[in-house]
Amino acid sequence: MIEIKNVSKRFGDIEAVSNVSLTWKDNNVFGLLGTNGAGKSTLLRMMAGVLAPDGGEILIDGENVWDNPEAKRKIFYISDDQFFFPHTTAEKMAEVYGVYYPEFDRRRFRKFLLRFGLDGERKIQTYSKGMKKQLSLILGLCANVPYLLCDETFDGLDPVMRQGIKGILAREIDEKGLTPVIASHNLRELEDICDHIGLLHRGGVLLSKDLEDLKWNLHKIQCVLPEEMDGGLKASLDILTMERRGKLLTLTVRGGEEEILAKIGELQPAFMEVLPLSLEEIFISETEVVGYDIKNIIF
Amino acid sequence: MTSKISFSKCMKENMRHRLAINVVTLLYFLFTLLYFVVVIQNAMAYDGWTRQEVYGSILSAAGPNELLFLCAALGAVTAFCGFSYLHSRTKTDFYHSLPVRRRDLFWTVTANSFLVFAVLLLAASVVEAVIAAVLGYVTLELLGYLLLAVLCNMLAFGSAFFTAALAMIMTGHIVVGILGTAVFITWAPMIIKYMFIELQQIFFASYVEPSEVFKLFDYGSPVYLSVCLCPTQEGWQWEDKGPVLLAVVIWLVVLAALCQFLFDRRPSEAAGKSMAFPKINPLIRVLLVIPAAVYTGSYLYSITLGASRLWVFLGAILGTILFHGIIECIYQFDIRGMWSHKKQMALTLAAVLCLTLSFYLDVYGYDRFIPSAGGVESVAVKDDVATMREIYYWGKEEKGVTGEQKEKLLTLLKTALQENAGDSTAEESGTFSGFYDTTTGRSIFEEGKKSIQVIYYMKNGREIKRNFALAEDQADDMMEKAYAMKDQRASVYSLYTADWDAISDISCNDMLEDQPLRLTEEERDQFLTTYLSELDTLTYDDMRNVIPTAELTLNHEDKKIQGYMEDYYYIYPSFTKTIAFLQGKGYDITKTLADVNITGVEIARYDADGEKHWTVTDPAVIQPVKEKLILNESNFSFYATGYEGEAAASDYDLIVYFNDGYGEKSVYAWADDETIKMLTAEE
Repeated sequence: MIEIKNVSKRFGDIEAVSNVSLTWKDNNVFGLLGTNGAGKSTLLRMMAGVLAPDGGEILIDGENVWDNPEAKRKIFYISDDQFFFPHTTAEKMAEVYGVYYPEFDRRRFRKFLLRFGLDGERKIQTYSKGMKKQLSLILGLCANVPYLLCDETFDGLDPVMRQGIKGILAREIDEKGLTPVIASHNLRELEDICDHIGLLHRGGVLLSKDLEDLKWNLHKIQCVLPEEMDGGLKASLDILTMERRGKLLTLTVRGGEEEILAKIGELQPAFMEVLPLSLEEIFISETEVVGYDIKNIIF
Repeated sequence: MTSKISFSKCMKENMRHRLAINVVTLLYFLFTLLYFVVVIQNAMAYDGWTRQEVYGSILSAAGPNELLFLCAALGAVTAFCGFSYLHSRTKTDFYHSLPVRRRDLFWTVTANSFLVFAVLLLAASVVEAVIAAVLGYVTLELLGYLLLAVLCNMLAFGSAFFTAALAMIMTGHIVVGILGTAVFITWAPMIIKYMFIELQQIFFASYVEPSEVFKLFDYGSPVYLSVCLCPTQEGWQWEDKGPVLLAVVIWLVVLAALCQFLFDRRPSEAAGKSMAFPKINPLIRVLLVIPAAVYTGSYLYSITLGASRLWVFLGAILGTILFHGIIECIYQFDIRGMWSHKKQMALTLAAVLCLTLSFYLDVYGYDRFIPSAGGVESVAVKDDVATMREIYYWGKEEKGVTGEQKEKLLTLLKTALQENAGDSTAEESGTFSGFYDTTTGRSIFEEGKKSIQVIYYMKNGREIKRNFALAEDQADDMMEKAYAMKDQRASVYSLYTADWDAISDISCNDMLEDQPLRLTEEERDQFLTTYLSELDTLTYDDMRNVIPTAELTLNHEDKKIQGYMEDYYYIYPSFTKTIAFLQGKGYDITKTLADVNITGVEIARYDADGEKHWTVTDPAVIQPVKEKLILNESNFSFYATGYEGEAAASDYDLIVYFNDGYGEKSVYAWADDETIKMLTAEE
């Protein structure tokens, strides 16, 4: 388990991370979301033992990660701009990681190279940005560590490759108990893979919840009702957003699904259905509760 | 979960990625071998060189030598390469996320750097030993020198490596790291040492040379010290080099510990920034701005030809503002940093001005210093000429006068300085003489003044020198009294205390002829004893105003330099016994121009129209003036006394050409106005 306890980090006058506390459950995909400069990368670099927190502590399975090889051996950090030795090949990089991560699986690494169509003997500097991202992920997966820290790792990957990697990650979670932590500023990229979401803003945590919990309490309903019934709806439901186009009404409503549907049903709509909520919509509604104008924050 | 990663595995892995620096190290050692071979070839190629001389060359090439400087440079470059990753965020993220302790990362780079250097150094030393053995020059002494060179090279490499590593750890950008290394190496032994010397030169009128205490600044830089391990002309002296060697070893341990301590605590986010530990930025800036401001003041003072010492203060103010701003720009990587931290700038300026003012007001009492007789072992006073003779001194250690004479001399000095108080301290002349000392900008010639150097040999072993500008009469009076003391003469003339058996040959030049003296040992001793008995009676007045009859050149062996040196003595007309002795041995040194066959007189006239040269060759003109031509003391090779007498006709220089049967020679001469008129009558 990864525990972040009251962690703070300043860069001169800038407070990059402020008193952040988060807990990761094992075998879950944790999505670390936030705008540029929200402190995602800083938090991730502290989790990887690259940066020392000014205050608080980060524990990996109960051990402080800072300058602690035992704890760091359980982590593989994929930076947003991963370093590869100059004039080296993928095979040689695997050799390097093999020294520091004794569980590194070279056979699996070659299999992945083949599957992703990467030439292991080609110099990495000739790879495209996306190929380098793929290689970073492959190296991380083959290091056989329980925690994989990915900083903007899915940026630069084409949609097909992204889906492929998501599939591999899912299998790793099931088979090997991997816990990936994925930092990104792109909500859409993470919504179909994350189990738990942490939203950072200006160095602090806005929220940290299981995605299922978020979805269970928030619903998007589309129905056909005459305009004069809007007042009754507002009175009986906890409506967060309401949009009318002619007779078609789209609502974002807080509460249990059955209860909401029952209350709308009482008004005898000509049509009614529950639509899936995107992460974006969830965050809009959740953060509005705590007083943040999420539209300004995220988009 | 998994076993610990061994340090040797980390080293092996690191070694794979340092190909470039390993190649550079290899090339360096190929160069050292080439240097060794070239030195041997050159030594063996010299015609007439004995086997011992060739061996001497091989010894110096095998032992610690000038290559220590390159060794130190290689150490610094190795550290730059090894720790440059600290300055890149991408690389820092990679290295610092690996499951390796920070200290292991530090020692991996360090150990590999030393390992590669040491292995190649030992290999090169073995090859050198083999080359020497093949040529038949290998001895235990040579092997010892090779081992000594290995030690010194390791120390030079190590001190530069750790110094550069410290700079790289403390900074976040390679350029700042290199600048930092240069500062660490030069700050104490150069920047600060010469700052104080500069201030002394500008503000202390009696300044002569840096005190021995200033050598302590050398110990502030292990790199400087390790390069100083290069032996002097006198060879490797353990008594001199031992403390230096020990100091470098201590420095290495301290630096290694400091590097590891800072490496462990270095924030990774410093990559790409200027400095890694911003809290100490103000301290570093102050330590750099103060000397930089003083140098700016000194520079302004020198380019204004030392017109006023106020320039030093103005320069110091400008320098403080300028360098404070420049350093802040470097810290921030932003030109707009020029005017930041104004309060700190003001405080630094106050410190600079206080420092400069303390020298201006001589709060240290430098110019007023006269030690109490109880603390002084002996005192020597020297005029300019005696000071010049110092480089030829080969007698027993010169110590000046002691006992009662010392106290007399100190009293004389006190009186003279009190009477000259206004002149002997750092007062501004406010005049422009046209002749300035290149370093101080101060006027060299002061009307009616004479420079006297005083050396106090203190009982605690220190040697304190002062240079006083005294009124001419007073200075002459003091020197007259000083030269009356035998100890004083023995401090100036080596012959009183030197080992005469070291003299290989003596020659005597009477300006017209340079004659080697062929004397037996007994004759030589008799001759020199006679000469010294007459030198005892020479007055300071005669010493300065009488043109000598001849000049003795003594060639003697000097063990310090393992070679031969010359020393010079004048024979004055009053040295009748010496002249008679030489005549008795067949050496006539009393010849004048009247005794030679003059073939021409070249005349140079200096007047308002400039310089004019012409030559008189007519015997009818030359013959009548022959006896009136006076040989000029500038024909001698060395101004042993410094002639202060009047030139007969100062607007003219004469060069007399004569034939002595072996060819034409020339000498400088003087003549009175009447003789000049006769010579120039037909111009």
